[in-house]
Amino acid sequence: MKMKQTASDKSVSIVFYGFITLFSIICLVPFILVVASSFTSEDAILRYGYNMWPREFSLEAYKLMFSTPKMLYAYGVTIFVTVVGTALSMLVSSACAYSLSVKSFYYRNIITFFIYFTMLFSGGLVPTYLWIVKYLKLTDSLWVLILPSLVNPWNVLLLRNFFAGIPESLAESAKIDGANDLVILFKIILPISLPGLATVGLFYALAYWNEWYKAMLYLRTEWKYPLQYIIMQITRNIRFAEELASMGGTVTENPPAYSSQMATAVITIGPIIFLYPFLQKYFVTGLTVGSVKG
Amino acid sequence: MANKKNRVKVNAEGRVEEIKPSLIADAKRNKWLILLCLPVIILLIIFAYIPMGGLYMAFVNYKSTTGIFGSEFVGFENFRAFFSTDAWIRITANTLYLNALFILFTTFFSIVIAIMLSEVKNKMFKKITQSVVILPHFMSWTIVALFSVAIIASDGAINQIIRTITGNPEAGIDFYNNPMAWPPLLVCLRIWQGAGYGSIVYLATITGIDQEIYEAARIDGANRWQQIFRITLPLLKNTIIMLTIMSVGKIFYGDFGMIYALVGNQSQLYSTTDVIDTYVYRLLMTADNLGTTAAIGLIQSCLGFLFVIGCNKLAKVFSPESALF
Amino acid sequence: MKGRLTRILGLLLCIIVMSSVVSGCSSSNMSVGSNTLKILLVGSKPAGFDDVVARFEELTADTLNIKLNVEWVASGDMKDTLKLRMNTGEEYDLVFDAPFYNLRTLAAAGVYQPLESYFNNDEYPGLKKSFEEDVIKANYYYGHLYSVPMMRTYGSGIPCVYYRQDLADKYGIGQITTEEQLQAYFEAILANEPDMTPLGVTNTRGFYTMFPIDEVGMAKVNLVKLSAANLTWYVQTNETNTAVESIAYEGAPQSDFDNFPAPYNTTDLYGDALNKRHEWNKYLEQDSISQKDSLGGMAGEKFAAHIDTLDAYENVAAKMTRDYMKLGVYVYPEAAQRMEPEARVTTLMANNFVCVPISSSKVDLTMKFLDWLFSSEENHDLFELGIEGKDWEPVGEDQYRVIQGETAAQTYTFPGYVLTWNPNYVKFPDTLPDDILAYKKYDLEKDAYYVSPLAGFNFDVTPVTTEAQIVKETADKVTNSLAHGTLDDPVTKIQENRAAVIEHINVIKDELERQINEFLANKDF
Repeated sequence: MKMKQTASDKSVSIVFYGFITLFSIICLVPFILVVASSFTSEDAILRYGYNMWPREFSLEAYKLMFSTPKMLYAYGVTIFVTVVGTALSMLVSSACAYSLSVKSFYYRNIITFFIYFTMLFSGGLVPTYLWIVKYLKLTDSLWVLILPSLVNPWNVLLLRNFFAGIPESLAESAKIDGANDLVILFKIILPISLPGLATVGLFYALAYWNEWYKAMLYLRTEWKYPLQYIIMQITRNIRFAEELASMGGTVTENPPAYSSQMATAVITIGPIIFLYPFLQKYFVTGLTVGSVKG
Repeated sequence: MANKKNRVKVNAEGRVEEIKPSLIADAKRNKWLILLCLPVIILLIIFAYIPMGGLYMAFVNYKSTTGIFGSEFVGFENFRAFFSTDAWIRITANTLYLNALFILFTTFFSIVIAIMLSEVKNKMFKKITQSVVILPHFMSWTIVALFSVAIIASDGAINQIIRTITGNPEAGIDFYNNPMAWPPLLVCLRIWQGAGYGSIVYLATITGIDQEIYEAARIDGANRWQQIFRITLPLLKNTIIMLTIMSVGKIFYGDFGMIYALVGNQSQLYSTTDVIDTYVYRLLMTADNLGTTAAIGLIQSCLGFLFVIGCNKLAKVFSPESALF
Repeated sequence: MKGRLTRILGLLLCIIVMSSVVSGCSSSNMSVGSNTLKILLVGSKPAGFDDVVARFEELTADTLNIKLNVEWVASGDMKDTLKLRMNTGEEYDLVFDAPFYNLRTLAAAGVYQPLESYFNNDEYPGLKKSFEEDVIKANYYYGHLYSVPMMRTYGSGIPCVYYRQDLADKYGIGQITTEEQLQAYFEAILANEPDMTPLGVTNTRGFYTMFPIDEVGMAKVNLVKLSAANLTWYVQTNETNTAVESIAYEGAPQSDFDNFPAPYNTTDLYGDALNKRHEWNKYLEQDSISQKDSLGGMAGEKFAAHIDTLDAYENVAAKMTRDYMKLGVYVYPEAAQRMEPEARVTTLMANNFVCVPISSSKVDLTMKFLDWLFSSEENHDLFELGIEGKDWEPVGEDQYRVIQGETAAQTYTFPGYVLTWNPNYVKFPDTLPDDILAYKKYDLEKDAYYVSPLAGFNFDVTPVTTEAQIVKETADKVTNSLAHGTLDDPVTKIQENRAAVIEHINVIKDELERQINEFLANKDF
């Protein structure tokens, strides 16, 4: 039965639409600047600054980016790492998160503390480096991009929170029917947790996609470098040149152009813009409805 | 406490009796649950707990030839560099209050955006704006710093707006020489960057709320405001508290990326924007000492840890089921 | 449901198995034979570098019999990467390092091999003839030669102001050779070009070394200007240069200068430049204190001039992309402009080095490689310029022409400062204009410089880290403003600023005196 909107409901609508629109514009404008600038010639940027529309259209920044064959390898590496990493992470995280969400699980709090503790305390760069390079011998292996970050405590606990929101009656009725926890997890909990799974899956995927620091530390072979590392290199070189110049040193390498920096931002954000709308369909209400009844 | 519920069972004669706790029995009963946790536990042991032993570096005079555990033990010597001047008071205060403001405001605006997005009915509008609001999260601070000039420069956007509003061509905020203008500026930038992305989690939680509850409230005559305040917000409580507690753990870690990109070497702005991480970064440029890095990191972690325990206890008092552990 | 699940798990398993196979058999472990040198350099690998290495190995197959395994690290990553690898004891035989990376801290940490025994040593003739004794001695850190200096000139590029010659001609100023002319140029820009700022400067450098003091005149009476613990000091040593007589610093009261020989005995020594900057501040943009890129600004015609050095000439010229933009150069140290001898002071210290980590097991072999590299022009040019006939061609006696590859990315450009810079083997690109070429040749001569009485001195800040930290925090409040000349009455301001932390400054001063005296007592060049 369709409810008539009261006046106060209407005013709420207006406020909401208005605020979101305003905020969206604030978010969108800088992005348009970045995209437009990435297609602008370097000379135009130096002259006219950043504009919403390219003053002098040019593909030179992108040509520079894609001129090396390693870009192709980089995409391959990154896709592999993201797909495999996200799949493994989700598997391992949902299993653990489910256990932690069961209120009658005796070890719940201890394990949660065990997991969270690692978010606060970390050995630091040198010990981690020594451990991974000398003992685990993961140098120059693609798995170094996946294994150390396979478990993200924040994501696990977030998933726990999502699972905890599911009414216990569901699991209990399944238990009465004789199902064990494994079956409950896969057949009941996961299918109705799509918003939560999509969210955490997104977070993991983004983390893998954007990983560059570990690549810089541990990878030595050119074709193994992920996309984000190649991109970050350009930005870091520019930043270093700036720092060197400000410290009084002379820069002998010609630092790459501003348009390249813009292009790197576009290449990084691009995939997410394409991916996110597909995930949005999981943020739809009604997925839990129908499961509690009966 | 939820665990106590399992301590009783109905025995064969129909009487309630207590089950004596036994590790093996517990393990058997929770067999699957423990197994499901195992991969995470093992991975964390390998990649987080073992390297943690390296924290010992904070207490030695590390030399690459002798390694972490072979180097000479120096007690708290490495901590001295940080406390040697009075500066640590100011930068710790800066770190704390800036992070507190960040947590407060980004959480607030994330919730606001999430609620608004969930209430908005037009599908197209929702899809577009949802994608748009997360964009700022992916713009690196270096690029934001490049654009910030256009906003805070003496002839930048903000000053131009001020001039139009007040009608005074000399009016304006001199951002580059006025440290007091920066905390609000940093907070606003953080909101811009993080509110949209942060709203995803809250949106997902709201999505999981059973629509029937809203239906029932509407039938009872509640308007939208009441629905939001009486239904949505309380059901978000657990998520909000949990995320806040987790953020508090990092409250002594300054946002190095943002502050270094925006403030950089502009020393005239340090009084309000210098945080522990940027200060230590500069400290190490002259007198690099790996032990000092480890020592300061240890301080930041320990203090954050204490804060978390405190907040968690607080949460247990007011809202037990949303406590982290 | 179950079927879908098993299918997904199965797929996952396949991916994992495949990837293990892939990553397993791909790691190309370079055969670390006993004659392979592992080298870590900074920059991007030059196109055709492998051919150069192959030619080297070919040429030395019977003599040295060394293989080279060179790893290139991006300039932005080098600092962190080098620090990490040196601190975790990873084995390398030769690495690049510099003060702007980690040289001081790593040398202090004892991570590098002392190398002084290999120089001035008849067993290494190449090194002996290419590295002068005093240069080697001046580049000691903490009492040893931990790093081999890579330098071509004895100074860091002749400072100059790049300006728009076309605009200078337009407003009747012509070639700028004096400060008055430069000022007239700026005034002309202010008056006639509303969209341009006369002078572009960057945030931390400001006016930089413009308005220089007569350092050579000072050095001749043993009065030396140096930087230590983030302050600028003026040190007067005695006639025989064996002990310190008195020390003043930028911002010190007049009394500290009374003992200096005239005309250097007033606060004008630092005050003049500060006042000049304040006077010229109107030629800067309003937010100059936050500007990061003045060269880009000049290229974009926001600025009409930009402070830099002659070494950057090619870089600056490349950025003047529009035809009407002509580049003018005003060398502001007068004596250097006239190419006089002893025009500038040198400390003989390089800014780029290569070091041998202690983790290396082939120190002798590495030094033999360096010896080979510096033993003859042909050897040196192989690495610095590439394969003759393929990458470059000699032009005349001391110039060369680059043989362009199909694209810019396929042309051999080796960053000489990482391995090959040496004053004995310098060739100039044939693309330089004649006057710039003349300056560069002049700059190569040691006679163009006056050797500082304190050449080779490095202040070790560790005994006074706390004081230095406190002083820096106070000084930071005004450093950038003073560099840009934004403060009124700058002399009073800097004096007040320093007076606030006078006790700490005095502690540093005493330590500085002590260290200099120690240095002078042991100085043997």
